[in-house]
Amino acid sequence: MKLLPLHFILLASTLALSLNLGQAATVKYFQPPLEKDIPDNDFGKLVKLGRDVFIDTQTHAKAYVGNSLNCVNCHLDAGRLPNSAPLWGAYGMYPAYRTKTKKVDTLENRMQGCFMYSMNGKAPAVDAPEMKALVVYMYWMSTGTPVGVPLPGRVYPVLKKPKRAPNWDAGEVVYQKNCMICHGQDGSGQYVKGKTVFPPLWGKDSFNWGAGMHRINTAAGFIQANMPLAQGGKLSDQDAWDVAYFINSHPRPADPRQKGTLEEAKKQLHDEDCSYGLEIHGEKLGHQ
Amino acid sequence: MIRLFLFFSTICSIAYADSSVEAGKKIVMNGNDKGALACMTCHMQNGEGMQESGFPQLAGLHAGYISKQLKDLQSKKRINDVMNPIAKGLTEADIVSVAAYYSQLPIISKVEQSSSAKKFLEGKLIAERGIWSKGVPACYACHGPNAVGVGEAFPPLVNQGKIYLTSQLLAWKKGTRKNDPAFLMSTIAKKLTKLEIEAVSEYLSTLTDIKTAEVK
Repeated sequence: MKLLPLHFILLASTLALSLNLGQAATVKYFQPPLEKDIPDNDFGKLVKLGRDVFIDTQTHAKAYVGNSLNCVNCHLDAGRLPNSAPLWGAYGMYPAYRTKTKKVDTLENRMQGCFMYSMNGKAPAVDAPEMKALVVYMYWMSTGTPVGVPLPGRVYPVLKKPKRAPNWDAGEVVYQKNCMICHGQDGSGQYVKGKTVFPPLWGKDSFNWGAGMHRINTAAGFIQANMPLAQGGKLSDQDAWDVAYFINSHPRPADPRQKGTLEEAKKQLHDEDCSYGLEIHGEKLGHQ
Repeated sequence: MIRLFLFFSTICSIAYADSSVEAGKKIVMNGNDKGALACMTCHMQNGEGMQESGFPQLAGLHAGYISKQLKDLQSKKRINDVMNPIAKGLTEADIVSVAAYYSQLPIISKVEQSSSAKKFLEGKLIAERGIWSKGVPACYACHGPNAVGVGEAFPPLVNQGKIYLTSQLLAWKKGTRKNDPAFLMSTIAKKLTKLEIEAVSEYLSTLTDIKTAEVK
């Protein structure tokens, strides 16, 4: 314990949230610094720019975005919320070898992936102003976290395998009851004055087939912990699996890594829990 | 042929909407003979409401939202001593008409003064960011940027008065209002303290913004 900075221990111990995951009753999470504590200097300016890129990616990193999403759609509370892949949980874990890229990725490389897949856009250069601002924002938010230590709540929770294989009909029922009011019957989200309020979950304006969220297990973990918004833990694990299957068995933008045929791409890139390359409800999935 | 059909169906629906608006206007101005008072007594003919008395603005609200509220006031899913008996006096057709009338009126900008800088800033933080340490998302996460309202289910909070906003958040918290889809609002309001409710209501009442056509 002595190795950890004192204020990290204090902060972490002040926040104890109980999770409805049937695991430990109480988990202590890292508490990132507050927005009002961003320093009023040149460094702070970059922190704020990074925050703005993160919250309103459509405006502040437009050149690199090809859909209607913002970073904050998958990383809730401006990237602060435990079990929603918070920035403070990722910062100290890079550089890291990743099976997805089969190489050691730096933090910047990792975020390039977010832009290419989750944002269905283009990778900003490692030294692009937007990338620099994002790294500074992450660094600031991670003040006091250890390096190379996986912190509790750092990713989406991993759900146990469902008792019954997820299916479309059950997922559709869960979707209509819990998700449709915000994300729309056709999953296309809702917008006001051109701003995304409720993000599109599938279709041309959503993440593409290369994004982590297209995996059913990943989406199920996110949904169970965080959806409906502010009601994390409400859905049963089975409901979360079913609705994740339903959402991720609809068309979405193509995987930009695909070189040859869809079948080849499925074999090379999609040996995972996903609907890529399958025909579901009359749609061959994986094409645009 | 299809075009001709579409043309006539458009004409018909416009005519229907017009007659509905006209019928709604009559009820708004005169009430009906089944116990419903004239809506304009409190909400005004132009729908701006009376902020200082806590009567909300209805102008420009989504017709589906107004209809739902009136039905929920009838069934007391939304408890309000003034509105419950009035709503009881409205027929199903009256509700559709009144909703059609108020929904087509232009929103009237309403701005109130903040009582203290501290309250203003606290309210701003809740509106823009929420209090996620206790599971409260930003108001804007569902009600849209500047809380101008989103679709049928998420009404505008901007251009409403502080008194009305506070009373509704307290009603959600107490459970006298429980007509929210999927418990979205009640879950959140129950986590807010009375002081936080006052701060966020005050902040929202200082804003002015008007929703324009929705563009993707």
